[in-house]
Amino acid sequence: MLAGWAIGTASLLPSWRSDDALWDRAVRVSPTARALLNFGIATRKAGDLESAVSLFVRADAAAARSPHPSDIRHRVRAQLIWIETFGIPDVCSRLTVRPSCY
Amino acid sequence: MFTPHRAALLLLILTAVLYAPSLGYGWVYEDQNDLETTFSTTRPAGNRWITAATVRASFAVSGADPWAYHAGNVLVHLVNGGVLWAMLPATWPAVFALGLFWLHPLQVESVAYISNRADLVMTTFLLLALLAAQRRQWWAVVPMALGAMLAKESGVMVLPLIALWAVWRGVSWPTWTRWGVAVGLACGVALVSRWGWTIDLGWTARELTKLLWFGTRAVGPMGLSVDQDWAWISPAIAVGGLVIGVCLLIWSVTHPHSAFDFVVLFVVLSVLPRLVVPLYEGLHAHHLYASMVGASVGIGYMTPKVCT
Repeated sequence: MLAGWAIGTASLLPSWRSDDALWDRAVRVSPTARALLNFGIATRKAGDLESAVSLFVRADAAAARSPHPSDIRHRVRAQLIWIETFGIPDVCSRLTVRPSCY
Repeated sequence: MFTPHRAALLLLILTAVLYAPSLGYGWVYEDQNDLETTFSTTRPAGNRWITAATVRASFAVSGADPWAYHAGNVLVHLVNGGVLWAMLPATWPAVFALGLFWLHPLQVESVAYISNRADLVMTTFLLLALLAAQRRQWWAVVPMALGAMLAKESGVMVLPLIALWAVWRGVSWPTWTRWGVAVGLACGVALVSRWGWTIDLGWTARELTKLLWFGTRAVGPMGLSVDQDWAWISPAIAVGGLVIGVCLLIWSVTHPHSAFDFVVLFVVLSVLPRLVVPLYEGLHAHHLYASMVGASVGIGYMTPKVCT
């Protein structure tokens, strides 16, 4: 059991290397809307706006499919408004469900 | 000859080697935000004076470079295991318990996440208080408990945890220490009141369900838990979790001498403030760092005969 725990720790530790690694693993282990949203925020902070938009759109779609209520779709819209304002135009139209984020 | 002491030394080296790569890691998630607010080197530290002091020590070493902060977390984790080993009998079950505390993947979030320094330092004081109680140095228990509270607010539970440990081990304690417990609890209630004292049974049911989920995952290597999506905990599931949790607690209280029941009570007591006080942030893996002390102590005091 000790060897198993040590291997588990060694495999889990690298996911704490950076925000990118953290949320990349989170999305792989549990591709929930919240994980996608956080991966998108980390990616936006790293300056990769195109990838961030893609993750936000996936987060929005996952949240739309979820039977559980959450604030994730509002938070996705806020992120896309930020990107549209300061970076890439017309990203809100990429959302799967209209009306737009405005 | 391969003695338990040498095995513990081997575990120390293994743990240090395992966590050594984290010294090259960066700031993650809320790290920088927390350093700017809770652990700011220029603003007041809130209740967490001792934690803030340790973070300032890291700042003095490496400034804005995160390596000294990571090194500090690894160092405190190793020291905590050392104090744990000092209070356990030098047996093979104790070696296993030490391995559980040092190596379990549930601890990764606590050690690799700089923002979790508060839980690490609070647990140091919890372990020192337990060690003092074990050695009948009662005069040291209350200052250690106060140190835990000044490391993190949930340190208010250190005195009840020591009381639980004393009852479980059948340790008699001087009458005056009961006043210490009373004063400590009063300080704790005052601290917790600053969070906003509102009881929400729905919150408690949800957090207790999360605690049960962590318990089931703790027996093997577990995945990432930070900011996990807990949307699957519907009201019906939460009620089920509450019922199972309360039944487990009642069963543990009525069988207070077995190691399993000690562990159940210790884990619940150590996270009790988080279970009863609705905060902006729910239960995460790193909140269970102090709880792992209970699991390790429970296993560590088993006699070799029980385990074979």
